[in-house]
Amino acid sequence: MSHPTVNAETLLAAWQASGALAPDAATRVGTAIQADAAQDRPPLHLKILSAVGTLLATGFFFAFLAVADLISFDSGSNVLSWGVAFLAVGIGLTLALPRAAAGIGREVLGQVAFTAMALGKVMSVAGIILLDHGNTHWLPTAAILAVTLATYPVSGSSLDRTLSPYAVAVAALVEILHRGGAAPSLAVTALFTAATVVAGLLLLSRRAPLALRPVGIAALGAMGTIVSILASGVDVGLWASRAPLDPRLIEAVLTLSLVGAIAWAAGGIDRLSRPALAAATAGVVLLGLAGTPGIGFALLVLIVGHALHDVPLRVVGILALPVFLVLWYYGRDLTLLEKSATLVGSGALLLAGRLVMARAGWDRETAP
Amino acid sequence: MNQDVIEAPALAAIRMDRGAVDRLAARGLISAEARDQALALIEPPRRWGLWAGRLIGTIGTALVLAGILYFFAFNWAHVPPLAKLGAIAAMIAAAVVTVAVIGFERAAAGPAAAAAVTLVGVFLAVAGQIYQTGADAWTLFAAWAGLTLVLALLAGSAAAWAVWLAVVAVAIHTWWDQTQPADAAFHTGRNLSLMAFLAVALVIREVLAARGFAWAAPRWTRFYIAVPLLAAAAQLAFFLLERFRGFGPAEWAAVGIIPLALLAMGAVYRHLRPDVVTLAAVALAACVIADFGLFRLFVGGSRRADMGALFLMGVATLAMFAAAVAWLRSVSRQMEARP
Repeated sequence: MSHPTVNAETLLAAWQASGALAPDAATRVGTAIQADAAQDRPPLHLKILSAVGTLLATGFFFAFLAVADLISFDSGSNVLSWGVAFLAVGIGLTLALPRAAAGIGREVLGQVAFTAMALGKVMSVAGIILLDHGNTHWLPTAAILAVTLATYPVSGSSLDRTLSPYAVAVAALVEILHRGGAAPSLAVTALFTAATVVAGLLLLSRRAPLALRPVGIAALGAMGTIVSILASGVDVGLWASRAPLDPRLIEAVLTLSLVGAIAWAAGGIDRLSRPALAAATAGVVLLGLAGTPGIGFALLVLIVGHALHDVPLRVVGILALPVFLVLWYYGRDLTLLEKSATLVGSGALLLAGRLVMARAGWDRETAP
Repeated sequence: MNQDVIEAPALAAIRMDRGAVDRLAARGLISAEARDQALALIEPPRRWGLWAGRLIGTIGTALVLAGILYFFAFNWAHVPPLAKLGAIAAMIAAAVVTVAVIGFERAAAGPAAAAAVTLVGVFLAVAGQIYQTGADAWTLFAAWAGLTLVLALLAGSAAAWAVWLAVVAVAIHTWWDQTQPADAAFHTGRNLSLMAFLAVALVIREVLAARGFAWAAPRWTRFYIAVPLLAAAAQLAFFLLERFRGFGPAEWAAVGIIPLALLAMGAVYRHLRPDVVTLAAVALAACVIADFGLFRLFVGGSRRADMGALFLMGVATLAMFAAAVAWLRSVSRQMEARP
């Protein structure tokens, strides 16, 4: 299903016709749109190509440093010094990048900067952990956070800006799950709630700076990681969490965030009283009561991705939905006959909902 | 001067998306009212219903079908052979009748045709299990592909073709696995066969799409064939580079065919069917193969690399991928500038 194509000229005309844009502002906005369109934003396929190159080059340089005995993995200060040096090179090159002439030289500079930054981050954090001998709780998380805070403002790569905060969240999750503690379920719920709030504020709020959107995506990734542990059941989930986690509070937070996302996409909480949206809200509440955090999360990603017109998010949602559906039905402690009845029953319920939508005309682009 | 800026396009040529509107709003250039109006134009509210309807319909159908499969699995031992085959045959008939009644052009015809193609395979597998024919698995897939070819041809559905192509690819794979000795020519022969089949499928897809067959035109159908083709080429290239000695005629042929295939795909998606995303996939495969080739060259057949080789590999990798990105950027701009 493709989106309708609206060009800037049509949009400016529509704004002027409705009075949303004063005639004297049209030229200014038109110029801003042209300037914005002229900005060179690398598309996803170029980011992937660049990331693969960076990953391979980082591996080769890291192996070079190790084979050449330039790094001593017995010495935390040595590893940390190399890490800081690489970070300084990476930051310097990233700052110099906008002044470089477009062309292959600039791409090489960009790749070197990205590679140096990646090497610097990994080695700085590894150096700090080696210095401490793994004795201090939360130190790895604090080290990744410090490196992220130091590089985020200058980092030129949205992938880097997403992966670093995600690494902070994962380090915090590992700390909670593997260091134990009195109430890991509550701590994981608190982390999940914090990630939900950050994702909601940075992805859905109009006032959030666009530069912080990668942090919002990282928070969504952290939510997905927690949900994956819950949805993986006793096979993988328990291996990751080491002890059973109580999912009920997380499911409640997820259900609330799903309702919130629907309200946001619809344009306000008051619109949830409309029949179609009330039905959608009732559906997600039922989903929450059924204990399906994975399916709920996949739907959340799909809704946010669809509303933001974000292709990678939509692809993740589309791929995650069948995976979590299979995990949920696989994880139920039911006989094959009971599973069969559950599958047919839930499928029939959805098809009945589809029929209601068709009868009410909610599934048509034009009002019936 | 900011080098991130390219030449400003005309307003009518700028496609507005949510990101562009959000950036205008973030800079305070448009009001909240103008932003809402723009978003309603870009994504009319009623399209959410269409989207949700399709999502619910697809998941609901998948769950009911899975439930039916579970029911058969639960009762399998108690179901008489004729009932097993009869039930599957009835489902095939239902899918075919659905396509015939609603018409090939309706959206539901595609999934129904794909279901019919899939169920023929289920029928053959069940028949093989009941009558214990002892035949190799590749004969099942070959028979499956042969029996469903006409249905796939008539259906004119991308989904049905996707299933059919996967069945043929598995038939080729299993034929090599089950009938050919695992000698030096095995990997080369298997991957070249797969590459040849996928290349023919890709050419047919492009010809049909160019001649206005709407079902063949969706972009995913191109990726569905091109990505496995590139993966087969890359895997074979890694295998050959790893061995690098004692090549027979098949291996020498592959040494010529792999770069030719990549060059041909590059030329087609650069000039004949401009598609920068597929071009990026070709560039990625070429870069990864070249990188591994260089590594083998630097280490000279040894299993361990010295520090000089590793440093050179790091530099070469950076240069190669940066060149690929720069070339793709330039191609992308030329494609956008084309009227």
